[in-house]
Amino acid sequence: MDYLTLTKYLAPEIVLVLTAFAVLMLDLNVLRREPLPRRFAVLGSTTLGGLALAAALALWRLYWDPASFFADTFVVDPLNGIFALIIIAIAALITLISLPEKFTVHVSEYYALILFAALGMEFMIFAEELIMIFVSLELTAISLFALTAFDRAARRSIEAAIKYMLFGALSTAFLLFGMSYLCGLTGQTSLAGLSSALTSYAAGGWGESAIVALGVLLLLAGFGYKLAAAPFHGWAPDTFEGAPLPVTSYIASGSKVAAFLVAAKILITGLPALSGSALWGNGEPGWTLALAAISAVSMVLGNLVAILQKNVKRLLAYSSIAHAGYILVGLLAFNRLGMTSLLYYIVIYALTNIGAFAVLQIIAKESGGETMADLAGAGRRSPLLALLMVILVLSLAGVPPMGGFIAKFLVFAAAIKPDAASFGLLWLVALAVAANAVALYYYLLILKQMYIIEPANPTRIKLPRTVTTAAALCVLAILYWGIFPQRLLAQLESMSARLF
Amino acid sequence: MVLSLTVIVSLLGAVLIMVVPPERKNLIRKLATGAAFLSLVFALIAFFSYDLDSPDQFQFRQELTWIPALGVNYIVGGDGISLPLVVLTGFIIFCGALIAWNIEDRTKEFYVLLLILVAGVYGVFISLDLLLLFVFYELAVVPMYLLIGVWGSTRKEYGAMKLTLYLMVGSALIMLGIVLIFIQTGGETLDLTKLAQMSFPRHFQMLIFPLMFLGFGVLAGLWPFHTWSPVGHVAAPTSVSMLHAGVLMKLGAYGCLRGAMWLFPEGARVWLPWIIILTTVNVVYGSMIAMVQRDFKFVIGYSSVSHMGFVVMGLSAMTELSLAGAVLQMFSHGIMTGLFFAVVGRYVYDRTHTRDLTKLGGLMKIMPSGGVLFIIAGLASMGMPGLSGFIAELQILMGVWQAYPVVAALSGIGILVTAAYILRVIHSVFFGELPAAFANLPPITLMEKCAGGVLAALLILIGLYPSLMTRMIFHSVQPLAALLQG
Repeated sequence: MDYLTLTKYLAPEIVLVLTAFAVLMLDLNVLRREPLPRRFAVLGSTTLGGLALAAALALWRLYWDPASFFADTFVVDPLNGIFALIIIAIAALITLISLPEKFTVHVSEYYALILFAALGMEFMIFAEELIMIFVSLELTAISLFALTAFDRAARRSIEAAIKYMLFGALSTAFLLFGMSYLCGLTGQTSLAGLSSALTSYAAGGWGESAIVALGVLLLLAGFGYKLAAAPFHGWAPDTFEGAPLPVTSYIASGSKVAAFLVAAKILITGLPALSGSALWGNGEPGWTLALAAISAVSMVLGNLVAILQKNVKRLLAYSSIAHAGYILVGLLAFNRLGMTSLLYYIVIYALTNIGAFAVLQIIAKESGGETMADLAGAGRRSPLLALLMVILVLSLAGVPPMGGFIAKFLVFAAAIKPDAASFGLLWLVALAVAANAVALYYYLLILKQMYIIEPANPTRIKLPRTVTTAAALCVLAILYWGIFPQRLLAQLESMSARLF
Repeated sequence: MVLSLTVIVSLLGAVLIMVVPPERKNLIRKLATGAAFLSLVFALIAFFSYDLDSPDQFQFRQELTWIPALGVNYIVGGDGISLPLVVLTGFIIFCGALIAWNIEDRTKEFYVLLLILVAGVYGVFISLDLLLLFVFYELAVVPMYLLIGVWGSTRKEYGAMKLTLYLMVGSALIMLGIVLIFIQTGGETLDLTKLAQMSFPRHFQMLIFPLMFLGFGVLAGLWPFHTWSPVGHVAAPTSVSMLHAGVLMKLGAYGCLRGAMWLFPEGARVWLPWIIILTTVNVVYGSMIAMVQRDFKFVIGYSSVSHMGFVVMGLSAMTELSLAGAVLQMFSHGIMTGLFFAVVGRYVYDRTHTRDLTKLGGLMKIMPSGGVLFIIAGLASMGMPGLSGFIAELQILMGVWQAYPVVAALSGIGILVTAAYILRVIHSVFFGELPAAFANLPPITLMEKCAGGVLAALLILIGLYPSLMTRMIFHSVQPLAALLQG
């Protein structure tokens, strides 16, 4: 390991940092007196340029040999590499939908924070060591807290940020506490070291070591918050509702993708010895059992409460809680198909969310709000926009041929697979399928608002080019990967091979 | 390839219409009708070039790799069971497109959704891969929500939501079933022909059969999961009712046959003797409810429940004769109910703006063509010899009699009541006093007459020359019956 190689492997992340500084300097020295929309546009384009360069480098990095630095604090391999690229793409989409906004005068800080959050997610993905994971989680979280509060004129934005931060602080404490137990017992911080040390611990029996159990449960609680899984979801609806729409979109996509990947890596590579079992009638204590409970509660609660929502952002927040439940099914399946399905699911899910929030952003700008009533008559006011929303919503509902269908199919198949003889996880899958049927009701309500209810104000909706492009890109991606999932699936499968 | 073309043409029609400006409504209608007609032509080509002497079970087979990672491929093909249904779809969508000519609100979106729906229906009938079948199935079901919700009448939002949720609960069962089958095969294949050759363990068949059969059975209107059907029919616009009762409910019965009975014969032998009780309720109860309706469309809606009960009863009896009868009944009922809804919705309701049987009357005087068409459909529905319904129901009853004489005898009540309610509506709508308000209704257009005439001609054609279809149906049903008899 030498610093030159490290610099080379870190090039995309270095570009992110430099872009952030460039944006800040540009605003300070050149653009301070320019009108707001122009600053949003110029600085946004600069950010996009930086992200494009970072993406190109990250793409190139995929072809380099895998490498590992500082005792696994920074591991470059195809799995981490491709998700780093996906994070950059997500940040670029978020920047794209921010371009026509004007909710803050601190434009450069806004874009810089988007970049810093992306940087945190990158390191979260590359890190396979607890301390590094923790530090990068915090970098992401703090950037997102600040971003949430950016709409200073709106009280609910501040409220959202404070709730997000208070819950976040609590979960940080849980996470750190859990990590410290595991680390203190084993003396290891790297996931690989943790795994081998815990294997010898587990040989002595899980039940005998309440400290390990406590550590794992605290860790799950901490991640439960990051993933917005019930019962750690309390912040999500308020934060989703209060944050500026591009930020909501970022929280629902980028931070979820990174958190799911890192949670999966910690549990699968770090704690395989403590997996236990969630099979019906055959359960053993372990993180799969705890996750099964979290997943079941998330699916049921998320979908049922979503039905009652009048605000579309809150509705999507509860829907995202339910989706966290589905994705966890893929994780607790604890097999290779499960990991593949999880990776596929989070990619599709992130794209679907960005698309849906982008459409909502356009409608909110025209109607002045983002309640269900504001969606009324969208099918008349802009057929294209409504069509995009239909595809996105149906993908969330898991209707073929959208990507959401293949994702759910894979997740369910993975959960049943390890125990095909007696269908030990069938209870969870049956629950998930039932919850999904319930979910369809509120997704149909969105369709109903857009097509059946007549608009109060039947003017045509003006489509801002950037936001529409972002939404259309997301829709094309989920349609393409829904109809032709083969290449993506094959790649994700070969990448998840490392974990199993 | 010729089978795939039915799907491709429909989808292509939908895409073409998407790029036409919404104001050019006549162009849109012509494009849609053209696409529907072309798909019908392809369906007929496949139907008439089916080779009865060929040793292949499925003809016109086409196989393309799709998602090898899941062992899922694009496999299509047709046999004597699916081809009559493909032809049925072709006729119904062609006539449906003609009947929908008077839709003025958002014509473009209407036809796009209609063609997507039809592509899904064709797809289900030709799919030989379970996942592909499911994808097409959902493609056929989901547009229904908007088609009814936007262009429907009478409690359309309620009807649309009820219909979609019922069907989605059904597809949730199917999805669970497919996941279980997928894992049971080791995640290697969902090819229906291969699945049918695997003998799944007995306990697995016991578990999976009800999932698949009831999942599809919801769409077939199986009692007690039928309530969405009359409500949906009544709320839907005419052409959508035609498609819905005419072909969509057949998807359910076809799914029961292909996705449940064919794959899990052992499960079928255990479960179907119980399910046949439900179908008896369908037949008898459905017809009795139809008898007491005051709404013209509800009468037809419940008559569909009753007739679909015959179809599922024929399937459940598992004899060669009853299975063949069930398939023919799917075709016959599809055409007949399409004709019913065309007359009720387009001829009568669109002109008189009422469906209340007590307010209608004497329409024979002003729309004799409508009266004649309705009577032809009604006679087919009663099982009058010389019309297709007779051949189908006779086969079903004879087949069921061989296995369950009591059930056959009980369903005789259904046939009697059917005759009663059909005569009752014919009398109260087309004969008697013509209310003064209806004296100056606009005349029936040529296009409407064509659409109705084609369907009526088919009923007569199959009634007089049933071997056009029955030879091909028996050709495919024989091995299936042998399999089910074990």
